[in-house]
Amino acid sequence: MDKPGQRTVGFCGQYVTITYNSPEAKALVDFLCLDLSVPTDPNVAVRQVYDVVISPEKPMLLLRQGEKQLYAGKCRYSLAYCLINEIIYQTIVNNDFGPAIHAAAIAYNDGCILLPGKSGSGKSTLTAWLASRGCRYLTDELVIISGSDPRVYPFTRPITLKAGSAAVISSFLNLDKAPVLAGRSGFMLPHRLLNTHFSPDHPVPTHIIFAGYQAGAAAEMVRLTSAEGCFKLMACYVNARTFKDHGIGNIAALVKNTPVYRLTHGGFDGLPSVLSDYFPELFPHEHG
Amino acid sequence: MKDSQKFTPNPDFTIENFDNEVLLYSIPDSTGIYLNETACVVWELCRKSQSVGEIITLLETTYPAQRAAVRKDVVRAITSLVEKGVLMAANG
Repeated sequence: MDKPGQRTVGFCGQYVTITYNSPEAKALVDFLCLDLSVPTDPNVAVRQVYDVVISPEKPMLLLRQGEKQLYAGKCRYSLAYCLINEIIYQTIVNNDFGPAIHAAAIAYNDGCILLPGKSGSGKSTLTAWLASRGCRYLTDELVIISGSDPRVYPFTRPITLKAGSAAVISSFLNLDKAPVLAGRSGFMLPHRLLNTHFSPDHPVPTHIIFAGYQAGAAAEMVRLTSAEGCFKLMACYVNARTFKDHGIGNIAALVKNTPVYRLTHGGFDGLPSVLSDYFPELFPHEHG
Repeated sequence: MKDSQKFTPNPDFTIENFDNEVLLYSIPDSTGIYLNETACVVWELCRKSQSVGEIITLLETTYPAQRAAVRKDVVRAITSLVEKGVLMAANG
């Protein structure tokens, strides 16, 4: 196989290598992994090697892991989705850098808002909306919390949305000319569309918000107790088994030092009046 | 549920204390159980080897205004904690 190039990508000390066979394949890998790339270093131990192959013959797109074919087809989005999930798995499994939380993260002032939630909970859409209001996008999927401060280490990838979110996203972002990677089930947006001045950051979490959409619900933000917050956060804790006692002490320490809220909303229109009390600089016309 | 009955905490659970609340976490099952203030008090008294009757008496004395509801609340809390595997009936 022709292998004109490769990238090493990683997160919190665990790495994989991705090879590509053409400029088109390189563009796809760059779109997906630009913010996860590290300089190629022969001394870095990589956990897996993936091959992205784009050829004019059928099937047009291939994703391989050694002899194993992970994707074969025509949809760039499907290949990208499959590859990013492989990278997430390889960089998180047995990673003891810190607790990994299934959460979106956006930077606000000098700190960071965490939006924990499982897939399909609407955190990517809310994250994109908050980024469009001036928060700095960090991730829509996963963070590792580490250090005594503690700091947030975001898994920064393109914003990944379900197909049904397109109408909502179009209400605050013009998707017509955006370089979107789209498939039948969803689409990926380069986060630099919303963060023109992106730079990697490891802020301290200042708010943890469990957000949930409920059709017709009035926007409401309720402070949870630390125990309630810890209970909910444990459900989003990805690598618990890596740590002694499942690292419950780490999660407890986080919620004892960071206020936790439950945000219920029935659409973005009602959010500014509620969120302006907490993030006045994002909603200057609502505050005061 | 007899007043003389005692219940003991399931040792599989790790305890994390938060002010007036407790989170119990089972390592083998990877499940967390959140105890609100009432459940937390009942669980704590069971932990101190108090019987159902002793717990009821103590809480009736401590909260005389809620006296009428105490028995029902204690039995309901213990039943729920037993169902969740947090408390186990003590032998003897």
